[in-house]
Amino acid sequence: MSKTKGQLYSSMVFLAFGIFLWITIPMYVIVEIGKFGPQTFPQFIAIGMMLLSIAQIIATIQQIKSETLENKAPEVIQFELSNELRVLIVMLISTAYCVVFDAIGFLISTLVYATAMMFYFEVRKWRLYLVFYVAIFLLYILFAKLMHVPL
Amino acid sequence: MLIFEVLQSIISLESLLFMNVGVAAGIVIGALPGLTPTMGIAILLPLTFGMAKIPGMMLMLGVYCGGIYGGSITAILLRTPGTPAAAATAIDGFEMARQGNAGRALTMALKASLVGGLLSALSLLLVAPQLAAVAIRFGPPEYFALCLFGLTIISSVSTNLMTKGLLAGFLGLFASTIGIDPISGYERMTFGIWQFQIGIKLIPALIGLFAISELMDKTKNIKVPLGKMIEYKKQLLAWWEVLKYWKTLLVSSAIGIVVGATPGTGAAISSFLAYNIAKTTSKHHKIEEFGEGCIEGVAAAETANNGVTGATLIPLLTLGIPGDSITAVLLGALMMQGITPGPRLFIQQPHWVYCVILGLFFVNLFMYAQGKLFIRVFINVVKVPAAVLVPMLFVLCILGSYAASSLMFDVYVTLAFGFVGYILIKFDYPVTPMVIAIVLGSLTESNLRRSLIISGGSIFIFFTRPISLLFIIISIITLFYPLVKKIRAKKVVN
Repeated sequence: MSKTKGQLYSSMVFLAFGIFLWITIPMYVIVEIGKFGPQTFPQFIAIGMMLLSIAQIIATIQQIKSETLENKAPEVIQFELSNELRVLIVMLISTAYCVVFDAIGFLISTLVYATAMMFYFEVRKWRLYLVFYVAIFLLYILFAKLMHVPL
Repeated sequence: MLIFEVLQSIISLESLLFMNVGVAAGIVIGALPGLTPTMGIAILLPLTFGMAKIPGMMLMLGVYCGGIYGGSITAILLRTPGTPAAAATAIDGFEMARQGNAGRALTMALKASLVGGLLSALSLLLVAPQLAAVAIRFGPPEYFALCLFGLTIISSVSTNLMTKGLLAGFLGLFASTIGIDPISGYERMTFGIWQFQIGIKLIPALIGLFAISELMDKTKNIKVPLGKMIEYKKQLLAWWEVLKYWKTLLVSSAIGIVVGATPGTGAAISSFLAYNIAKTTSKHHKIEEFGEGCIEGVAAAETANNGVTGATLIPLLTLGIPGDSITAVLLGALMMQGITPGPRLFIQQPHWVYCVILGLFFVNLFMYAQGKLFIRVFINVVKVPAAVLVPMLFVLCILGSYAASSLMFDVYVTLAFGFVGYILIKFDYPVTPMVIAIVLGSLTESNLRRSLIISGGSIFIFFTRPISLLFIIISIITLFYPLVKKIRAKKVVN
């Protein structure tokens, strides 16, 4: 995807978010009519977001037009499917880790998470696994025993 | 006597220990390409929960100063700066290393960092109390105008396209409105989620935006090995050989201090600025020698980047305004310990303030000692593969956001902010304005509304008070200057 197109789409997302905010403010804020009340600052943010994103959309369309007229090769956003897929998988594993952490506690969930992540990253030296496991135990002692965080 | 009490607190075993732990962690994090001192502070922040205020702050300062210096290690040995602040160091540092002078380049980087760091700490000691004495007279209108100035300048200088910085800022402002309204006490924008009633907590947001997003980005190149490091051999570089460049050291420190005290800038800008000035004004080397392994280039860049460390604390401690991402995270650390930075801090907690200021001198001295004694250890730690480090740092982030209040909800907030940060960076939106807006949002709104209550609803209160008017004028200029520049440029073309 070209950077200008990315800019256009992201501006549209911001515009949609500004509109969403404007619509939801009366639902989630007690409105004090005619006063600078709790609703005013969120309303200002919604308006600001909408105006700025519209300005950015207009500027980006002009930029796309001039790029087409001048036959300029547009700058491209770095996007490699395999890389993005890896980021997604890591986030999914991490989210799953958080859910398991909540259910069975820190120690076992983190040992499983560490093994899964390092295996996924193709770490094959058993010594590195051992270093990680020791680090997990040290973290557990530090947080649970010394700082009294319920893990 | 305050000075003796302060020294007693700093020289306690606990403070000295955490200072050194912070410096060591900072050097390692700073040296690892892709990991920044901001991320280091965000990750280590939760360790300060159970600590007393002063050792906790010493740990953070250690990470900060160590992190800025640590970037030079991989910049010199690998040509890959550990932090953006060390990019200028790589120009001559790597060339020196290639010519077999890695030891001299690393020693110059360490000694120059020490000089820059100490002079910057001195500037903090001299300027901060004076500025706080002026700022103590600020009322709600002045504070609102100051927050407005902070938000506009950071949004405008942190990216090429100002609208992107402002949109990121608005996103942060929105996050700051979630929770209880600061004036009326009504619940607001919680979307029916009861955990949002206390608002978005700063620590999970910071860890998400600065650490998780960076780690997500790092996983993309996890299988790409770190390039081949040039072998380090110990070489001597006497102090007289360093002080031969005293003019460059002083000018670069001054650049670091001025840039550091200016919101929205940072160590990377100061090091390039100082490098270019040294290049054009050097009396010891010809301009052509810079870029070919000139030791003065390393001195200039490293003095200037560590020269910002004390100066960035000036607006933070005196006005409560973070000037960059690192000080935004530091502000989070202070808030977590129940400290609200601002001019009143100098009256209410002078002992703590002077511990921070004088502690910075000690941190720089320990940074020098560790850099001198353990450089080989740091170089070896950097060789630990990213495939091990990234999951370990992920665990620290998750644990850190959980430990803040023992709530899993905060962990999910961290992951959500990490995802948002990753997407923003992907589409060239800066993350720093968003963080600063989260920090300043509530302060901005409450001061705006208090001012309007004082004036009976008239906005003229902001224009009739000179300091408030000054900040508003600067904010307007900051906002519209790029637009005026663009229109002028178009006229010239036509």
